[in-house]
Amino acid sequence: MSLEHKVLLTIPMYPDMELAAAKTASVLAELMDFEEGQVEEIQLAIIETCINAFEHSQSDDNAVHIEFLLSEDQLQFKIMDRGIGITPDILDGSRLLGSPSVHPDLRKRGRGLQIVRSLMDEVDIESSSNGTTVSVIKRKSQRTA
Amino acid sequence: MDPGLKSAIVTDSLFYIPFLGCGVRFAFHIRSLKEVSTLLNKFDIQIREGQKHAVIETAGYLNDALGEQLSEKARELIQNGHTQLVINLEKTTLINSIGISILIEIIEALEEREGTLNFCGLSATQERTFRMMALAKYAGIFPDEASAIENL
Repeated sequence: MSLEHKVLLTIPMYPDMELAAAKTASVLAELMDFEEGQVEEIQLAIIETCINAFEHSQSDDNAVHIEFLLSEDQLQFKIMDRGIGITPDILDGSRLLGSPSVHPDLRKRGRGLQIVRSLMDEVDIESSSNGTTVSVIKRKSQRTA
Repeated sequence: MDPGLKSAIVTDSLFYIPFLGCGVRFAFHIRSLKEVSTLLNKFDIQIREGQKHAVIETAGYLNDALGEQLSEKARELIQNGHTQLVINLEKTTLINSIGISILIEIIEALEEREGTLNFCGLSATQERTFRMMALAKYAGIFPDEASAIENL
C-alpha cells in the first residue's frame, strides 16, 4: 500500500494569491521528484483553476480551499470554493469570449480550463449552488534510463 | 495600507507538510495581503530598441498586471514606428491565460500595421500552451533573442 499525505492550504481571493498556491504546489511536486517541466505544468494548472474561482465563484468567504494529496506516483489537488457554482457556458468558455478577435482561433478569454485539461492527466469538476470543486490529477512521467 | 485590506489580513497562516515520515510546520506572520502579493510577484520590463526592431524583455509572472505594462510598452513602440517586435520571455517564470490574451492583443495591433512579432526564451510548457492557443500561427517562436531578431 502506498503512503498518502495531505496538505491543506486556504488562500484569500486577492490578486496574485494564486501564486501562493502555485509555489506550494511547486515545492510539493519537487519533493515528489516530478520532472521540471511537469512542475511548471502543475503550477500553471493550479493558477488557472484558482483564477477561475476568483473570477466566477462570488463566494461569501472570499477564499479558495486547496487540498493536495500526495502519493507515490501522482499529485492530486482539489480546489474548492463556496460560491454560487459555475454554469456550462463558463465551463466551455463561451461566456468569456471577450472582445472579438480578428482570428477566430485566437480566442482571448475562457481558455483557462482548456489549458488545465491539456496539461493534466485527469480533471473533474463538481459544481452546485453551494460551490465548486475542481479535482485534478497529475501523474509522474516514466523516466527513461 | 489600504484600510479595506485590514479585514482580510492573514495573521498566522500555517502550513503542515507531513512528508517523508516527518512533520514540518511553517508559520508565516503576514501583515497584509498587498505585501504578500508584492513579495510573490516581482516583475520587470526592459526595452532594447534597434534601428528596425525592438525587443521587450519581461521578467516575473505574466498576469494582468505585468500584461498591462507590456501592452502599454508595445503600444508605445508601435506608435513610434517599431512594427518588428521580439518579446523575450526567458525571465518570465509563468504566463497565465490573461497574460496570453494580452499577447494576442499585441499580435493583433501589429497585424493592423503589417508588423511582425517573434517570441523567444519560452519554456517547453509555455511553447506548448502558445501552440495550443494558436499564438504560434500568428507569431514566430524561436529559442533565443538573436534568432528571433534575425527572423523578423
